[in-house]
Amino acid sequence: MMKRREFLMSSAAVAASGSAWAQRPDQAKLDRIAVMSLCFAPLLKGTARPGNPKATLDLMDLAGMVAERYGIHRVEFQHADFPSAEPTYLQEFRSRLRQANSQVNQINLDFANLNISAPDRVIRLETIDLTKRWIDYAAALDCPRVMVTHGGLAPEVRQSAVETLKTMNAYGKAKNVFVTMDPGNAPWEMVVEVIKAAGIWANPDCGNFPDKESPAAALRVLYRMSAGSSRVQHVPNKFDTADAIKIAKEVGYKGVFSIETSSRNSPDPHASVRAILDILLANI
Amino acid sequence: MKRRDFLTGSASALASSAAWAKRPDQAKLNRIGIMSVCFDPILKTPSSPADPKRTVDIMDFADLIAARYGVHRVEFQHTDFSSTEPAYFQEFRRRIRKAKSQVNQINLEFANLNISAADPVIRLEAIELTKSWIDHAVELDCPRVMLNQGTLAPEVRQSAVGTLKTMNAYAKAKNVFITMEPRWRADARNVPWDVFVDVIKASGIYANPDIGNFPDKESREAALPILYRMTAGSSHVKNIPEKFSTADGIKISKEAGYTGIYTIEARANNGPDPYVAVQTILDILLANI
Repeated sequence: MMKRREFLMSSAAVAASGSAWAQRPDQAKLDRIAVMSLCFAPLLKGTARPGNPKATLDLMDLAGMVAERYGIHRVEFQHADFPSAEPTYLQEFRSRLRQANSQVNQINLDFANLNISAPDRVIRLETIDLTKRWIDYAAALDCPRVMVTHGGLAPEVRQSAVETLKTMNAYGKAKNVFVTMDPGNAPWEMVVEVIKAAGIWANPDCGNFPDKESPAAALRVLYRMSAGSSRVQHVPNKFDTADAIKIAKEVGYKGVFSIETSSRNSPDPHASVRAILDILLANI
Repeated sequence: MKRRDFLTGSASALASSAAWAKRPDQAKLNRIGIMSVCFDPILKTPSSPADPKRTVDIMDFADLIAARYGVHRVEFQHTDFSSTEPAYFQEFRRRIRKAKSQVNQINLEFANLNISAADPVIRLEAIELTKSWIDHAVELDCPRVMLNQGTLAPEVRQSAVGTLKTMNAYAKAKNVFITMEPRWRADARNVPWDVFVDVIKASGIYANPDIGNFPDKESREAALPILYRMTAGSSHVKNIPEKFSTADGIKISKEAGYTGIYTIEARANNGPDPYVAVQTILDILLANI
């Protein structure tokens, strides 16, 4: 398991934060769990939801809320969450994270119309430049990973996509930031080949497979290729989350499980996160 | 404006060969730039490496312009560059210096990413990519980047100004000017030039006057005297005789006290041979500035 920029929150610091639970769960387990901002999308304030009375949570307060409510000190963001990337905003953001004794686990980059599979060289160069900037911001936030979207990796663009990833990865390495990718909706074997060829890392996600058979085979490979983090979804009619965690353990995965929920889990984001958290605590 | 600007020395300029029998006034040549876009049909591209019509490598562009025209200012589109890695820009800069030339401006055209985007995430991405190109401009000793402003429609104008201010603050810290040119197309949703001027003033950036970018004589004659006073030291010159007189545009600039650069923008409408098209505009400039 990779250690770059990774740290374990000290028990003392963690114990200092309050929790809604009557009995605090095993802190060592909580230290291996993260929560994605995406889970709280309906509650997050932002220019995209002006005037929405349900949007009560400021992004600056997310780490504090997750630490307070769940005892979890790892939070994961989408790049689109950030209303600014100016140094003063990021400095304040980092200060709020530290105040919560938390760490940004990963920033997920999902640029509009820009990805490594673009057939147009100019678009790929723009993707590289934007990714580099977010690698810089990840470093500024003490975040060890950025995840990129692969955009399909069609055969005719696959080689140029690999070269694009290599350029991003060289920059990421120089800044001590991992570049990761998850299979998304593409065939996982092909994504594994691209990850290997580019020298980047996998972000296993037990929810991102088209059928019930793929996760068992794919996760065994992907957990071994991680940069110390993975994604956990809970879609009972598609796969068994506990089985995925069991596979992770069988292959010796010691990294972080980052909780990803959506509206299909429950209309209440807190209930959705709690459900997956309970599965994790019972199985890791 | 003088930031990052320099005048190419007459001695170095004279060292280059030119097709002309008699070398034109070097002081006038020093006020002229040539855009890579003039040579679009013959520029080599990675997507068509075997095209026999494409004979000019972008790395050789400054040399070609210096040797053929005695012009030592060249202007690029951001899409011209085949890499944005430091090693590539170091080599590019070396080739520019070898030609005793300067990159006059880099023009940024980011597809759907521009300051007029309604989505704040898109505007942030436009800011970030522009910052990257401001950094690249610094790597190339280039004093200006020009943006495409998008629609500047009333409902996005205020956020566009806010976005420009953020870009401009970054550019100032890097000693690079941000410019915008008035745009007009018969098939587009255009903003009146006076609104364009208001946006430039409100955001603190600079104008890149373009003689060709107006719908009619009246707006051109009203706008250019104002725009030439709002530049960062550079402008664009087109030649479309059926629409306007290029000499008249230059006259307006002189009357406004403009002492900056005229960058030649020739297109297919100027003829099938880019060398001839550029020479035509160059001759008009030399006769009128």
